[in-house]
Amino acid sequence: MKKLIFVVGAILLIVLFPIFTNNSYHLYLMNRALIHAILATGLVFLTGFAGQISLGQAGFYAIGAYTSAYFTVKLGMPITVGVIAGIVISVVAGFLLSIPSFKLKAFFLSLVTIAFGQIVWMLVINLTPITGGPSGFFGIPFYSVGNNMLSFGQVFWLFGGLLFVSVFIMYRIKHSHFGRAMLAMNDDDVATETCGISTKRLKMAAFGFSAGLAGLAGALYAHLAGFLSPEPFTFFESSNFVAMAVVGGLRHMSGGVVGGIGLTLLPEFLRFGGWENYYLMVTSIIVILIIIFVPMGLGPILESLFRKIFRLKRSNTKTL
Amino acid sequence: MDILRTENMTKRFGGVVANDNLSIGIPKGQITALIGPNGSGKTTFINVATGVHPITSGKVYFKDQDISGMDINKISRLGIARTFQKIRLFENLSVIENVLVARKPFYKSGPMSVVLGTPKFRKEEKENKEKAMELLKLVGLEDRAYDSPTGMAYGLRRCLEIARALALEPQLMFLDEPAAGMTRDEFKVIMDLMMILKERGITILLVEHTMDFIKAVADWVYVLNFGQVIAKGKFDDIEKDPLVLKAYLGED
Ligand SMILES: Nc1ncnc2c1ncn2[C@@H]1O[C@H](COP(=O)(O)OP(=O)(O)OP(=O)(O)O)[C@@H](O)[C@H]1O
Ligand SMILES: [Mg+2]
Repeated sequence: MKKLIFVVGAILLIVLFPIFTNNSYHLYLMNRALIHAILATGLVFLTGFAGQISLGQAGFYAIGAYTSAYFTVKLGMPITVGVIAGIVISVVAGFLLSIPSFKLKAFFLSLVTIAFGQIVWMLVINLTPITGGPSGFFGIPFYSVGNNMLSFGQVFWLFGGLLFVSVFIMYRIKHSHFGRAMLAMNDDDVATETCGISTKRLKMAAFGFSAGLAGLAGALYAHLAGFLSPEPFTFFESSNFVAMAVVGGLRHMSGGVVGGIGLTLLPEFLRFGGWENYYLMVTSIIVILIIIFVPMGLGPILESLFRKIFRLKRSNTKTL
Repeated sequence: MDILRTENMTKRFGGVVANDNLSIGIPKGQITALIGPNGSGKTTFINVATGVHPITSGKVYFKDQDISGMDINKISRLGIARTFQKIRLFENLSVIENVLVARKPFYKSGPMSVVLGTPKFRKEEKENKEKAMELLKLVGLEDRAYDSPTGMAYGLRRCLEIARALALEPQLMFLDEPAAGMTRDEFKVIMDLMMILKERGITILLVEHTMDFIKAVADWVYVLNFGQVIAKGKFDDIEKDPLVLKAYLGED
């Protein structure tokens, strides 16, 4: 419960953001940050809790984006339907990608997930009738209610709400027999099986959930950006997503939120006078330093700060 | 009646025949000991019977149901629990959570009820926590329920592993050297525990090296050597068997 208060508090802080700014670039950036936070939250669930690796999340991100774009533009469906379709197809792809994880671990599993990301990327480039290929997919509708387009500020709250729901679902699942089984599997597959638990089903569920969130993120991105090109769906982005989850804290409820927002905004903070050419390099160096010196990630640090302020105790239990 | 029996069970690791045509019966409600020198195939027997290692040839029957080739989790859910020779706990979970993991098969709430936090799920969670606490009491760990198992004394860790196995409400338990490396007091605790389990009607297969322990608790003994049964019977008879003496002392 205390963890939940922490997460709610953190999210509330961000919720106030649009009130302080009218700069539409800043708002657009924050919306991207929330999208990344949703995706990275799924990775925290998959990797930090269930112990599985995916270096192919950009594949699900692409599936969500192009599915929703296709449903809204080519089939004339409302955005809600497009987004849900994006999530559903991503989840199915996630189930399929979980199959290699029944046998493979660590290094070998990450190779398979990279290959998955590459396959999706190749499809994005070559399936031109559906994706528009390298020349792009245009005219994707922006968020609206009736005939009124939402402002970036309103979209921010929409995304914030979806992020909150995602974290809430993850919180509830973690604090249940399912979450316990996942943390157990993260420690020891065989011992988990001898507790009468099918680790195959758990892996499927974990891949499905993280793929669903990545698909949601992709669909949200498609309607925010208005057009899609293959660039945001490369292997580079997949590894960027993993970096977000790691920097935020793989084993922490808030890891995806902190890392997703942090690593989206960090490069922008570094883009000041004369340094423009180096900001991406500096970002990477900062990521490396965080991983070396704060391997737990920034989420736990923020949490302990929060605990100090509100004088809350820590507990050993993670799922009760 | 045998609750579990194997028929010509064979397990090979490359050239090593770890279990060689074993036909072993474990009588229901009793404590059966499986003994033998190092490397004679005792742990392998447990691993194959519980599905941890796939069987090379032969069959395993649990209550006359063929379980050879079944997934580990299915075998466990039938009511077969085990501990490991080298203790395997979930180090990232607290003591009580370790036990609760093995309660998962008893939960009926799906992901939807969990996310919505339905009263049914809360009730289930409460009941299973009580059950887990009961088991921790049984093994004397109730005071450590919310501690991390990492760094706990060896004897306590072994007790936790037994409590976790019991959480499955098993009919048959495989205990692989539960008293190895224990102090005399801890040893006594495990021995008493086994008698309590037997009273509760749980069948036990015990792998153990300490002869006093076996003499005190075992109703029936199988002796393995090089993956084969070289003797079976009551402890007092086995003790004098020349083949057994030879296997243990390594004489010609
Ligand atoms: N996973 C494995 N891979 C290869 N060989 C194995 C494996 N497990 C066991 N063996 C071999 O099978 C044989 C039987 O081993 P097992 O562990 O069953 O013996 P044990 O009777 O339990 O011995 P101990 O008393 O030392 O625990 C040994 O020769 C061992 O080296
Ligand atoms: Mg052994």
